[in-house]
Amino acid sequence: MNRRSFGKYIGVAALMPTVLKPKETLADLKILQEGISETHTSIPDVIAGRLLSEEEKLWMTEFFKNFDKSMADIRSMDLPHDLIPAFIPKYPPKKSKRKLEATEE
Amino acid sequence: MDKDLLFKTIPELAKLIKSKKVSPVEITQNYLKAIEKDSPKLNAFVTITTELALKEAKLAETEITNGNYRGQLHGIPYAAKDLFSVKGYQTTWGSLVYKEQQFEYDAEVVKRLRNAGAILIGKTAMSELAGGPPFATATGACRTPWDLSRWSGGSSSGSGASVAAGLCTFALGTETWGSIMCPSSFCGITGLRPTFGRIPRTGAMPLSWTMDKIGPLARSAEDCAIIFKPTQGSSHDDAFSIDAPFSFNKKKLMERVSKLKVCFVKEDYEKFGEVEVGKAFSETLQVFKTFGIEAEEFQIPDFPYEPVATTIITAEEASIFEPIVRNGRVKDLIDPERRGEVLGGQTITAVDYLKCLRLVTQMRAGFDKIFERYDVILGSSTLTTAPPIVAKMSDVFKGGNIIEAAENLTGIPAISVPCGFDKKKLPIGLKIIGKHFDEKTILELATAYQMATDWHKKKPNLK
Repeated sequence: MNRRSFGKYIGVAALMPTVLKPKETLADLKILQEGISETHTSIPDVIAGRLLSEEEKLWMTEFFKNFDKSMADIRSMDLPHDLIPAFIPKYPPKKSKRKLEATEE
Repeated sequence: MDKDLLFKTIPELAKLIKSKKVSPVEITQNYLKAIEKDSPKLNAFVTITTELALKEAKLAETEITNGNYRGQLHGIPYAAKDLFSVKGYQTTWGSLVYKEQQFEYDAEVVKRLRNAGAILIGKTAMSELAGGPPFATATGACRTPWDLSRWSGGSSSGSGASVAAGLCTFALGTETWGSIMCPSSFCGITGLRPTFGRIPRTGAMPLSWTMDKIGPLARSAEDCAIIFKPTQGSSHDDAFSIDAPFSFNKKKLMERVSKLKVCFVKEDYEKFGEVEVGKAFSETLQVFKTFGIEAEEFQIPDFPYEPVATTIITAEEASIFEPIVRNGRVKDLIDPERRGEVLGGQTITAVDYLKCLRLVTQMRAGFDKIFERYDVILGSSTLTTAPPIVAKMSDVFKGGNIIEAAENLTGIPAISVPCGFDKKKLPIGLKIIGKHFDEKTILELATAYQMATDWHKKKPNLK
């Protein structure tokens, strides 16, 4: 590859999204994460090994109307990579060194 | 039937039993008669364990006569929420789905109370699978003895109603999110929710492994301390249970209490609750002033407590009740919203669930900071008094009291004590919240409050 052909490759690569039009762009992904996720808008037909009735799907749809709304903010939060899930409080209790800023590095 | 005996506190009854002025059999028979008469009005009991109660009462009587007195709980009749397994009796979990269920072993907490000499008199009504509105229960809406057209609260509905109505000396309840505080408040009794992990849950229905707690509902904070002592401590079968020291002593109580640093949560009672509840809360602050305590207002750390609690509970209950999704019995749950939760919970992602658990770590750090400055947080147990049994839950729990979700997520202890009545003569609850493992301080402050007031001594006039 010489300097001229390298330039051509770069140009082709840059134009690829306009020709191939990928389904998911970064902008779409953001909407997916902040809004209602696909999993929850299309309730699976089979859960726990059996086909759900139409009525059961309706109960689930009602549940997800509120659930997805309340989870939207939580899904968009950044958490420190080393933040471990809480389970049992320790005795004797110690002061936590964990900073409260969600964006802590 | 000696009505006076029905409303005695544990130390009062224990004194009579120890001195052999009253026998455990006499007390038990007294309660059994009261249950027969009043429980149907309240829908408070699911099962009355008459045979077992009389057997345990006779044993206690023999032991005490022979000079083998085990302690203050010896010969005291109590009831247990119908989610604790008791060998030989049904354990319905408040649901038609499990109405025939039986276990061949006793719950750990039932065993511990038996070892302390307490007598199991019956199993109390509860909300379906420990959650939901008044109608969502296998035994009919449970009513507060203060007004039979109103709800006793949930999910430890029958435990609250039976103690308030004088159908047992104390009862066991559980709390995942408000299930001890709410019935204690609506029924005008004292309820302790210990630190997460303090009382092992072996043999109790799980709703959320990371949030379920067991605690007593009784007539006073001192009663709660007496019940808490032999029931706390780790068990091999509950991996989340933990050992920590506990002591309770009324000596020099006021001296210790006067040194406490106290803060309170400001609530918008007009918007989310009832103004009279707010007024009663302000009056309690005046009582604490007489102890030398000046409570300061504080701001709860900003986190999405309620969505996080909802997600964790829903994901865990979906896993726990997955068998009824598989076999289709989920359709037999009474509350349609609950059916949606148990079904919908099946598709909550592990990523969402774990993110919520990680947020709890940050919430705990936030509360650790508050408890660096303060020993105790005060608030209202509920922002309303007992609602009509036909009320919509969205009208009763309109918002506010966000700290309740925070307390339950972080696993800190709290006690609810009666602190007044509204114009409808319905009881109002005060909540005292403490640090992890510091049940001692909240029990002491609650005891000091009950030494200065007599709200906890009021009895409903159940006709």
